[in-house]
Amino acid sequence: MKLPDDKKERTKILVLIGIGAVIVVGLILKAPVIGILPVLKSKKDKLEKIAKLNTDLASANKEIKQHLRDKAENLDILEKIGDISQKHVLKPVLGNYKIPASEVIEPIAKKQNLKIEQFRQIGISAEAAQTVLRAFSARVYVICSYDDLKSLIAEIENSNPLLCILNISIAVQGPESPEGLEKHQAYFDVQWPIWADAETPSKLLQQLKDLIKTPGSGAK
Amino acid sequence: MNLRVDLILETEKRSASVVNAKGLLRIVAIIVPITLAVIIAMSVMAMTRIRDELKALESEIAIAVPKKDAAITYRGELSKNKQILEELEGWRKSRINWADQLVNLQRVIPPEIQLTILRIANQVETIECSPSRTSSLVMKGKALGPQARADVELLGAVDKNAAFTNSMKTASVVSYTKNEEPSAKDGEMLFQIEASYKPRKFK
Repeated sequence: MKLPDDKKERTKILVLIGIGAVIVVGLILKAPVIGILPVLKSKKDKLEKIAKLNTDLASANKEIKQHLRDKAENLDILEKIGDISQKHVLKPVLGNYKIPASEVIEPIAKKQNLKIEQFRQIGISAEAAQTVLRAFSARVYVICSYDDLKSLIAEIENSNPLLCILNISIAVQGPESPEGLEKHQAYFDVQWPIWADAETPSKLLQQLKDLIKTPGSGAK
Repeated sequence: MNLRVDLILETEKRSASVVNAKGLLRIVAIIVPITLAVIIAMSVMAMTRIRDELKALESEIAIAVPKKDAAITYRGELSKNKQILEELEGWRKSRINWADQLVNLQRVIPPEIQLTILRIANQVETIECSPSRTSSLVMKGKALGPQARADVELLGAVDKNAAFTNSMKTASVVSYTKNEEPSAKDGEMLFQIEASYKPRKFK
């Protein structure tokens, strides 16, 4: 655009351009002062906070969903533990493990027509860190044939998938014995798992009861 | 004589300028406030929406966080119970069915060999950071006849027998000597075989 030739007119246009420029520069320079930047900053902070809260909420929702699966899994685990504990972990009778252990071995031997020569308690293993179980061991002495011993051990092993037969020793009685070659002096150890803390089964049972009461536990 | 009469007042005179300053000022005076008002209104609406969204999220998170914390605590309980079950299962995993081993041993012992002692010893050891049951087997006996050495060597290689390859690690004849006892039969040999089983981990 060409400026007018008239000096007066030219001055007017220049004055208007000047005013416009002053307003624009003023707006730019004075914007922070009149509060645009603080408002923008507050908006930015709030948006950042929203983004963070959304992430936290997503993470929390994920945990909450997982919690339902955890409850169902825990229920399953507690039922399994309860079942195994009830059936296969040796429980004391009047604080004694020899009696219940003997009550396992004696009937099996009787069924096989075998006489237990001696049933001796070896004891309870030392408490180990990070374990809830200890081992109770007893030694069984018998005089019998190899076949009878096999059957006896098989029956004992079949009676409980957790117990362990250890330290088997079979020795011939000697040729001087009339039954020397047929009957052997044998012994073996039987080891059962026992709870290191006798309160553990009741605590776990209580957990199971509480879980069954809780809605959404997946309890049948 | 020419006479010029100007009847238009100074204020009534039309400007011949291309820029009408008054007009421009009027336009600016209308557009600028309207634009500012629109911008301010939009900003206020946006801020209100953001504030509402933030408030809603804060109340949601206030409900969700305790539930999340409870879920995390519960997972610790679940983890403990898993360990208990794993420990119980470890007893089953780590055991060797010795009745089966005794049956299999009976099958592989040649008829000319008579065992006098059979001993199995067990221990719990830590192998590769995991508690494991280790077992060893000692067989002592007598062998008679021309096949005595071959029979003992066959029994000494029991770890190669298909019935034991899964469970036994090594086996060897550690002694093979003539029976010097007065009651011994002529040519009767005494032997000792030792074998070790593969460790059975609890976990």
